[in-house]
Amino acid sequence: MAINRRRFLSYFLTAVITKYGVKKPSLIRQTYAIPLPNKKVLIHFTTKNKNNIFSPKPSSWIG
Amino acid sequence: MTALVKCELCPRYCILDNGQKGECRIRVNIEGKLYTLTYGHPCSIHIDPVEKKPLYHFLPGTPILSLATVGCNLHCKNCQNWEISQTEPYQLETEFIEPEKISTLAIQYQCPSIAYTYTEPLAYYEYTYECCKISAEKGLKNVLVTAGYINEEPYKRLLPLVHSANIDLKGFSEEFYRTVCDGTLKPVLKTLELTKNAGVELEVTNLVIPTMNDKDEDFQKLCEWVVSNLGKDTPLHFSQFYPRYKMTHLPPTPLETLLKARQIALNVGLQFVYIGNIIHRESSNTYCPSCKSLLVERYGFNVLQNNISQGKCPKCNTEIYGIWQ
Repeated sequence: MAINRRRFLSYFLTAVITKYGVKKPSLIRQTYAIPLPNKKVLIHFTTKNKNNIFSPKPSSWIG
Repeated sequence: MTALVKCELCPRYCILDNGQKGECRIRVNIEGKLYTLTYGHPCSIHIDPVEKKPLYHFLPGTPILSLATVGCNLHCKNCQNWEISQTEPYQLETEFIEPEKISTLAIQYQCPSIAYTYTEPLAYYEYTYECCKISAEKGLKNVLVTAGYINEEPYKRLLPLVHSANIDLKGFSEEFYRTVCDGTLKPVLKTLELTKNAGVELEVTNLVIPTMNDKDEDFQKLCEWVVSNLGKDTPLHFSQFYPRYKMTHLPPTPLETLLKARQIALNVGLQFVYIGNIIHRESSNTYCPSCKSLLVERYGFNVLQNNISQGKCPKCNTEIYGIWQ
């Protein structure tokens, strides 16, 4: 299992802090994500020309 | 205190504080719930030849609607599409395209299949899943072009909706995956096995990077594993590397290296071995593994002739692995 060291350290430190009286946050395990509803848009997507949703062809991306 | 969220989609198991995004940059914890930021917001949509994926044993010569959103859960130093895979969602222009619309577009532009590709379709999992579900209901075929870095449970949920997959086997050592891709090898091998066992048409791609994964023993080990675990009929593509992203100091893969890799794979017993990202006619063609007659002749992404009849060699009647119609 790959462990992200930075995040692991962050969680570990949180657990250590608990010893000094700080409440440890709960950890919720989730596999599937919810599409971000519009009212909670934190990112502002700009809109392309609606008449041409296709990117320029041919695709230069690999795959 | 807001709960931490542990994302269990991929083997990274990111633990996210409130407002924090995962390694893929597109999954975020908002007040104890996991949200996906790019659902319905593809950054690229193209109609490509299916040979570009590369898929050589799947509906040859047909167009395939190909799409991607931003984000990837690996960070390969050699990423060929890093401008979209290694960027933040807000940095690219997009518009909302619901999954229903994706299948409508495929039908409208006469594409029999849809590819979830360019970046990492398993990172934008929920969008991939919904698009696959609706497209399959409409009789379209779904294709994954992926690095295969996902956990078993969500992948098994997606697999029944998938018809074909090209999975990158980027190298054959944990060290390579750790140092070059910021990932691990074992989950990718598991994904490959799950895909093949599920009856999905599977092709494997190995991008050959000079000095990084181009030793004879690298090819030998990789090919032996493919033969033993996926079967000798699994198509294998050795692709040419171009200096991109954080590996601009390395030269493109020489043709000789790719041909050497192909020869090793053939010696190990693989029946369908191709080289890609470079034009070499003989290595792009499909030959019958029994009578060696030419079945599919290709030039670049073009199919010049396809002699396969009902999935079989027209001369010796040998069944050829793939989805041909």
